Amino acid sequence: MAGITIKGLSKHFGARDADVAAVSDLDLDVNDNQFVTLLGPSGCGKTTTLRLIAGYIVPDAGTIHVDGRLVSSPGHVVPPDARRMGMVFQNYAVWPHKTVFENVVFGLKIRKVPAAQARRKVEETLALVNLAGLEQRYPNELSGGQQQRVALARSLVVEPEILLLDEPLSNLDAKLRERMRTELKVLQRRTGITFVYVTHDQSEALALSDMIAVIHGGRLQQYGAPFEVYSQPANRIVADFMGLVNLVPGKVLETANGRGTVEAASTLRLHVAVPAGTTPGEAVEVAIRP
Amino acid sequence: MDATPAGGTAATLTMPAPRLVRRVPRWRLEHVIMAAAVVALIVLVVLPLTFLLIGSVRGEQGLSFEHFAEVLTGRLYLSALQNSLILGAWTGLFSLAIGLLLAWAVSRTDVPGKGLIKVTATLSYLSPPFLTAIAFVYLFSPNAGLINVLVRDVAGLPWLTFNIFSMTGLVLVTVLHTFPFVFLLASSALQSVDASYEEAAQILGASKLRTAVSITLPLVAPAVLSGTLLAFVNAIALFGSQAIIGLPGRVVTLPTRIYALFDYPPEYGLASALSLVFVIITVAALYLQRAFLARRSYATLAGKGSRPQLMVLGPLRWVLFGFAVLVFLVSIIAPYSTLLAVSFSKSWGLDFWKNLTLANYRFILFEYNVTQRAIANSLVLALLAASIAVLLGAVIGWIDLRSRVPGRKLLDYAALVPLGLPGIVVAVALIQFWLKMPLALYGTMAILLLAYVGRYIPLGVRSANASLRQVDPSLEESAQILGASWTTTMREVTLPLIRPGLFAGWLLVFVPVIQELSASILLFSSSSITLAVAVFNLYETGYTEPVAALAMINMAIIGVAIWLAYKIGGGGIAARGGREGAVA
Repeated sequence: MAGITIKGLSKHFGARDADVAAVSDLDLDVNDNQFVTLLGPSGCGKTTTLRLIAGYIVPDAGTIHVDGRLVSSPGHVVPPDARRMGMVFQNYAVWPHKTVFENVVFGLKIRKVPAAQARRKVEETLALVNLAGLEQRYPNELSGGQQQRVALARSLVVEPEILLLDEPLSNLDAKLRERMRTELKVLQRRTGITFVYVTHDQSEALALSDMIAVIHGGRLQQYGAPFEVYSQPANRIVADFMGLVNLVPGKVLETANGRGTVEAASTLRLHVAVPAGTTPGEAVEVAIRP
Repeated sequence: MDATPAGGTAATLTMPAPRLVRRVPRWRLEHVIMAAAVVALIVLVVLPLTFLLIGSVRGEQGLSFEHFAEVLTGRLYLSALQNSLILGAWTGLFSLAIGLLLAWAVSRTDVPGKGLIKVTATLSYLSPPFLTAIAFVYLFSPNAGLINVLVRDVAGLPWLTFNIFSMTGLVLVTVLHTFPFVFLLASSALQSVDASYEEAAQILGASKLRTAVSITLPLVAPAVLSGTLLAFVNAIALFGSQAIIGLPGRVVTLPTRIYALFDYPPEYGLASALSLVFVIITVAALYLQRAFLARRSYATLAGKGSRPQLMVLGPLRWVLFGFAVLVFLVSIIAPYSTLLAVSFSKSWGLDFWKNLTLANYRFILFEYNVTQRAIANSLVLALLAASIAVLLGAVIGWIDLRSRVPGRKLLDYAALVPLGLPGIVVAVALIQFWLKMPLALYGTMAILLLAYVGRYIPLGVRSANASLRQVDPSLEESAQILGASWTTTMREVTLPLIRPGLFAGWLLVFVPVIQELSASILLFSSSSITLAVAVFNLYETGYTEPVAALAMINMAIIGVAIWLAYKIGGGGIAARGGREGAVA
């Protein structure tokens, strides 16, 4: 499998001087075999990042390496069809004129897998996503959840090193979303494929990820394990985005071993974790989750 | 996921290694195809127009505006310009009146026979105007026209005779072809105006008339005006009816004047200058039309609202129905029954029914040696032109919508330019260009093909563009990331998905090409003669009855072509088209 290294990645849309940066100066290391989530509100640049990784877009600056191999830089982009990645789109993008079988077998045909072997692999993959027996259906005869599984099977059957998922659950109803979430996690563990998962749903990110990259305004705000991002937000934006939070202004009284005492609302004294480098006397905001 | 399949998990499956680090050549096939499309567009449209421009300003000694000076001061040319504008204005006005009335009747009233009105509009639009013109000559030529003979000699009412060879006659025949432009745009606009706009006015106390005038009319006005301008542009470009009806009545218009300039010795410079004046008029009208249509957005944005309440007309609806039937009789029944009757009669006149014969068909099909060649030529040209225009349109549409090639918008505009070119102007431009090239194309099938593809490329681009917009880019991207090359993606995903739209575009090109006269008339030779030119020549030579037989054959071919095309390509695709559009 493969890891991804992103350095100084930037992408503007429209006129440069208008300064509508979709992504600016992004650094990210995705380790092999990890489930990494790009989390942020809509329009924050997470989908652009994903499409940069896939090779659909040429970056304005920065580089993307996969397993140490340069795949994207402003002057040179390996096209998506030569990247050995998989991608699941928000709208699934299941081809409406092909049956379930034809959809899933497509990538194997491209790789010239012999027909019998391809058929077996498609059947196995469809079984893996609980779609056995629906091979001859057309997408319009499937439910949203089933279409989503077809898209997943289509990406998995070619055993990509990296699977990119662009809000794959956002079009499902709440109950199905919950179930698919679990299944995705199990799938990632079982296949060992590196997942890069885009979502705006923080609970989804917390439940699924090995690592979460919080993106806001095209910039990486924090990159860490779910618990770390949740309990030790790097800034107010992250704290705010990671769930219900009360922000109280206060003043640091003393610090020791990463914890400290903060006076808040002039009467409260709170013992909380403080970021490294915090000095007594500093004005801070305390994030309190209910 | 829940259940582990017996065969193992995806992780344990083995896979032949795909091209991990595939070499990415600098020039991939898609670049070659796109470049070819750009070159084709340049050869089809840009270069001929450039040579037309050069030809119009080249005198004996280099640059000169003598041709323009003559065209803009000479009495012959000014009267042609004036006649064209008069024709266009009256045609536009009557198209507006008839088209809007029928559109309102169909979409807002309880008039009976709505199907009839729609069929009338469609058939009138599809009918070759030069055939309608010939049919009306059989009925209303001053001396021998059947109806004129009837009212003058039988009924004894000479003041009731009507001379078709006049501006009035020309306007009548042209309107029958152009009113559908207003009808189609107006009825779609009327249907898309959300009823709540009108209901909101009514609840505030506005009467029905007041609502119609102050709410509905302004909302649909852009579409109606745009349809009127389209009627204008199309009316002044029709060579056939203007030659058949205008010339005997000494009503010379721009197309017929340009045509006359090619009598020996041909006046290429004057023809080019006059063509450019012609283009300026049509382009100005089309520019206005697009500007109007752009403003239409606010009427359609709300679309899909509640259906408007149909107005109950009472006895008045029979008056409206009578009008619709009249239009049907004049535009469809009269010309076609006349052509049919003439084609079976030994000699056209009051007693034609006494001597019915098949001799005309025998003559046309087996004895007149031009017919078979003309039919074969027209079919081959229409098949080729429609296919090329649509494929080229697909590539240009794809470049415009999907690629990031710089200048792609320019390409799109270049492909729309021919909309502003009357057929005869396309012919003049092609002559100017290809006569200067070392390739002897003039008089071959190839130059006709170039003219047809060039003229109708906008229809190909339009239909490809519209269908591509229905296909979400992610459908292509998901093929790409699975390792599919551009060509594979096109073949497996994009083309199958846009096929219904391309097919509609194909028909849209095929039907006008098989009846094309305006450009063909300057470009044909005896070996490359087409069906429409054969009809026109036969008519000019005075073969009254055989012309009608050939005209019927022409109509039959158009009818069969449309029917066959729907049969072969339409059925299955149309059925699935719905769901294809829905997912993407």
